[in-house]
Amino acid sequence: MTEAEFQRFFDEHKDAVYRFAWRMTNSTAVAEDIAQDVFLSLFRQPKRFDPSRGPMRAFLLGIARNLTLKLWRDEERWEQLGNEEFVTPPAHVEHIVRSENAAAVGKAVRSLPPLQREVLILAEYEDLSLEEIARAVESEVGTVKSRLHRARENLKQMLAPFKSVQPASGGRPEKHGTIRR
Amino acid sequence: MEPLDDKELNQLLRKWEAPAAPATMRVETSRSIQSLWSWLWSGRIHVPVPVGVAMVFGALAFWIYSNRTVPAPIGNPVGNAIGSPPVPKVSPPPTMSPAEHTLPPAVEVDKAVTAALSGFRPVGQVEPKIVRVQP
Repeated sequence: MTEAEFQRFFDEHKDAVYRFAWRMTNSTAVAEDIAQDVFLSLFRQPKRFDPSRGPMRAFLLGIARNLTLKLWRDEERWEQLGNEEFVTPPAHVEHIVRSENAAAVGKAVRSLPPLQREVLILAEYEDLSLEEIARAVESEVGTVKSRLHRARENLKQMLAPFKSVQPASGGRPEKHGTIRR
Repeated sequence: MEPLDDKELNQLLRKWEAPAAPATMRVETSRSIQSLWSWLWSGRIHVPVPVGVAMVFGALAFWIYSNRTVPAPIGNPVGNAIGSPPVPKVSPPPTMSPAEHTLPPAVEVDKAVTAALSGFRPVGQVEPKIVRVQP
């Protein structure tokens, strides 16, 4: 990979990688570090990218996901990752009611177990297909589907206090929530 | 409390926007190549504790073994020395010409004393003579 090619990939995908890392970690500094490490990894080992297995963006988001999990493991936050049977804590809902909408959604998403959170972010915000997500998180498509369903159900419960303040219909056409299969 | 439906959830999720990557974010590729060299000075490696402990003990044992002083043999060098007794050097027997075999025994004994009995051959036939001094 030439430096010009690398620069093109960096310019194209830096925002997506940074956004994902920021949504996962809630820290601009950590997100920047992760994004830089992702592109350094690409520069050092460009042959790890196989175009037949998916687009570059999905590949880079997969690296960002692994670096995020590694960071949490180093910080001994690994025990939260496998919590598939997550149940919304009632106190959290009360806290969300008092918050702004966007911040409340962010808090709700970040309160999901990481394995649900990463799948939800990749699907809803980065528009990856289920197959691409499965490759990025190194799981089966069925597992991804299941985690995404649990994540959405949990969010529906957590954000239920906002039901009354949402407009009934209209507005922009839906972009998120439509998963490519 | 009734949960949101899919449409309401999608509308809410859209409100959470992430910032773009900072304009100052750069990946210095030239530095990443040099970092392999700088790693030799400032890099870190993770060593499992059992391996690290084994390495420390191994190094300690090697240091003790290499620095130990071997006591010199005291007193009787054959019977009381610690370890194996010193082995005398044995020189190979010199090749003898046929003329040397004809030397008289007295000469041969003298050579054997001075030459560590090399070339000593036992007498093949002894013929004792009794010499009586007549009174």
